[in-house]
Amino acid sequence: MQTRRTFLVSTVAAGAVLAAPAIVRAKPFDNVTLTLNGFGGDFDRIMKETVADPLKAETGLDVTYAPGGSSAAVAKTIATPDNPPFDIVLCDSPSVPELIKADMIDPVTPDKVPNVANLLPGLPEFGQHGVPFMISSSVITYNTEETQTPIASYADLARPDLEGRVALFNLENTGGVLYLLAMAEANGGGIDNIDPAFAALERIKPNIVTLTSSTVSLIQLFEQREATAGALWNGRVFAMQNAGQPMAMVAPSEGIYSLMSYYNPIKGTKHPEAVATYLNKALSDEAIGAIANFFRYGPTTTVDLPKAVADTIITFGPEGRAKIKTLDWTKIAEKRSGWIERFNRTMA
Amino acid sequence: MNSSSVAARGTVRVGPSGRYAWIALTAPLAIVLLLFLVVPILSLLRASFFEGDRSFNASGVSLEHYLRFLTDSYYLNVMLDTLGYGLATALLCLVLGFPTGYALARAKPHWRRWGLIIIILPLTLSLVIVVFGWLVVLGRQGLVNQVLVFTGLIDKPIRLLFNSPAVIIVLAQQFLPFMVLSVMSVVGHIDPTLEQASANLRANRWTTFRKVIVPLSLPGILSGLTLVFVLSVSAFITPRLIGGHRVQMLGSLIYEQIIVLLNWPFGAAMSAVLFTVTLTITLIVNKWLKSHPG
Amino acid sequence: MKSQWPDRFLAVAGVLTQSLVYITMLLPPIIVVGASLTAGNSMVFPPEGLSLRWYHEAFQNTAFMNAFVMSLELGFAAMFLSLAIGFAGAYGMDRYRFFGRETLRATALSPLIVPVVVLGIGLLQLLTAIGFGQTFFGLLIGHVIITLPYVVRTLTTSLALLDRSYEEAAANLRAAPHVVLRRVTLPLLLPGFLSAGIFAFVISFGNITLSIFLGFAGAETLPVQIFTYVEHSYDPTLAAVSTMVIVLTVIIMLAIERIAGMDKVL
Repeated sequence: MQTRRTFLVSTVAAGAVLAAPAIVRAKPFDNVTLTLNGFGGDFDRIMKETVADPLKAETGLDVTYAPGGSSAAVAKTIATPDNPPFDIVLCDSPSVPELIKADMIDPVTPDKVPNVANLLPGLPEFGQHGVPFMISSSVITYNTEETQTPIASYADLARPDLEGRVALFNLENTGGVLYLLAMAEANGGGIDNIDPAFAALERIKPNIVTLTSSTVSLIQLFEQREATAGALWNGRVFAMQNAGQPMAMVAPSEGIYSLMSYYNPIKGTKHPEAVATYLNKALSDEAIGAIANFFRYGPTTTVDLPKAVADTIITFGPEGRAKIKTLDWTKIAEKRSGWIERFNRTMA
Repeated sequence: MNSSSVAARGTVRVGPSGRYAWIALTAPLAIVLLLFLVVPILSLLRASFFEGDRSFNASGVSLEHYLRFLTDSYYLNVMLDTLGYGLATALLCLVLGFPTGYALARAKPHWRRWGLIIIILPLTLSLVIVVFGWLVVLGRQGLVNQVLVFTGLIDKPIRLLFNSPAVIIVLAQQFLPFMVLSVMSVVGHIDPTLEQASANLRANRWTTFRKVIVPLSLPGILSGLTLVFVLSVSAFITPRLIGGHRVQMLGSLIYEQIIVLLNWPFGAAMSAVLFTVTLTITLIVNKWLKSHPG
Repeated sequence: MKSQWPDRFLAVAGVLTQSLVYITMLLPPIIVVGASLTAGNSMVFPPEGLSLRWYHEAFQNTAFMNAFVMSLELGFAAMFLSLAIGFAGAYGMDRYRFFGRETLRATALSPLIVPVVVLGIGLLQLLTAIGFGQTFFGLLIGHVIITLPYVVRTLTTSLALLDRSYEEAAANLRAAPHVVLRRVTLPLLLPGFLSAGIFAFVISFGNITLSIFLGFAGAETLPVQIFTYVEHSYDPTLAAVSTMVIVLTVIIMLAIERIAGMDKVL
């Protein structure tokens, strides 16, 4: 190694005096490594391609993505407040109030992260806490080969022809919380009055194959045709369609209920400037656009996408943004435990 | 740790003065368990007595979480169900695993090798894959339903998954290797001539089985039963994925409290109750079975 | 010529049970291998057409491949450490009576009873507090803790069943105690060691919850990688990776057996 490098340096040095300063020049984050919890699979690949790799080239910053799921990442962060394992935690709306309550995250300001200005107006749910980068919505999906009559709403899932064919999230998955709130508000209730939702759920109950906390479990059920209708994340329905599955995607008539995925800069990081640089890059059109383009989850910024792509994203742009129901996640966090307990008791 | 186990070997050699060799031998185990098991368990115990539903910045001493669990028939029923699933799974594993483990121990090396591999394989698969496999086997359009419809036993597919029998079957499949290996390693120590002797005494196979084989392999059976029971009782992913909402087990509720709701004090209190009950049952049953062999 | 039917019944029931067991245990691996060979884009069984494209995908996926290697290293390290600590402890508990012996025995089994999430959080906090957070040592010690119950349990049973007359005979022939241990006791315990080792490796290799809590960037195991992968993607790459696990398990088991020379022992 040593001899080869010496050889290279001496031969290159002779002819490439001009190139030398570029190679030698120190970059601002040359020996800095940021750790994030990854979202896994293709998500991490896109993040690497659109954020980590360009940052490495421009600033020398190293970024590592530790897999393990975002709920566990939040639990790990809260478990070790004095020495958290991440510089930035990626998690969904319901976890952000927990991180704020535990005083674990720093606010994000436009002077440090200028690209925050690109966020769709009125989008962030927690003031300056957390930077949203993706909007996942709960949608109706059904197998068009097995269900002839279109399904338009969560209430339709109670239709007699769907007996034993419906699969849904339970409340452990936030997708469950979203349809619960949708059914509550459609029936005159809301966060403070959840009874109408449980009444509506009671009507769907005879049709239910299973209720699960796992997204992949639902996908397996639909792909093996164990269930033919249910509610799922819009991006995952798109992925099934993309793989050739005859699954329809319908924005439920009760309304579009969504959660957002956030970057949360952890308090006390050793590299605040590097974190700000990362966040800014992660909000760039390239990064946000690439994620939206691949997963077809909603982008959180004013990024422009080809019409063919934009048309498949139900929350795209300011008009799409206007359709999303606003939710009070802090209040939901207080209520969720009671809802889960009731759900476990009544649905079993 | 390395140096102490080397020391252990040294003391054994001394012979008579090896009276205290047990200290050197058991020290690594005791230290590792004390430091990395007992200490975390104690901090869990502490958390279960916190006031309120968060353990960060928490303080005080309260029994609220234990009371919430022990005074609610819902939680107590889930607890009983959990023990029931554990027991059913352990017994199913015994019925399936004993003959298999016994035959493996007596099998020719070539067959034993492949038998063992087949038994172990499912353990190395991710649960996502295992669930997928069971969907293919027990699903509405799965193998079993197709056979049943084809033979005319049923006229349209029935739901075989997402209920209690499915959970017991899948748990049994997951934990069967522990029963088989426990039985196998014990039967391997039994001298086959004992069975031969019994047969020569004109005992039929049933009698030989009852009077010779079972008593001799009892340690293996006990060890297997204990492992399977304990593993099933603390299962948390399988019941959720295979049982759906129809099956409630305590492990899933603990997971829910800790990971989803971040209510570590209540999760810890449930864990402490489950831990105490399981350990007590295991110790009592082991003691009883050892004193009543047969 | 006493009644023959219990014998027949026993024989038939034995064969039936074993067939059922082997079929049940073989089905998941067969289904996974089948699904991995699909030419389509979804992980379904039966597969849609045949191709090796998903193996190409899997090999190109460095995250999966690195995690695979990591799981192997961790599995073997945990197995050896657990066997060393576990055997010394089981041997000590078998040969000596001392105060606290039963307590130690029960404690060795208890990692199985503590819910893994709780153990995971507890260990993470402890390891971080003593400066071993985010280290391979921390991850390894966690895996040793969860493999110890199997190892101690299996070796304790084997030791209890060991016919001491061989050891006594060797001792009478004036073999030094360490020679007896090495040349008589350990070979006789080989089946137990084999079971314990397989348990330890497989438990470590398959563990997910503890690895999520104690793992860190650069030390992610295969189950964690799979678990995270399916959060946002679900395709036959999973089946291809799982098939590789199956193939590797078979190779490792054959190798362990070859090394342990099990044929000669039993």
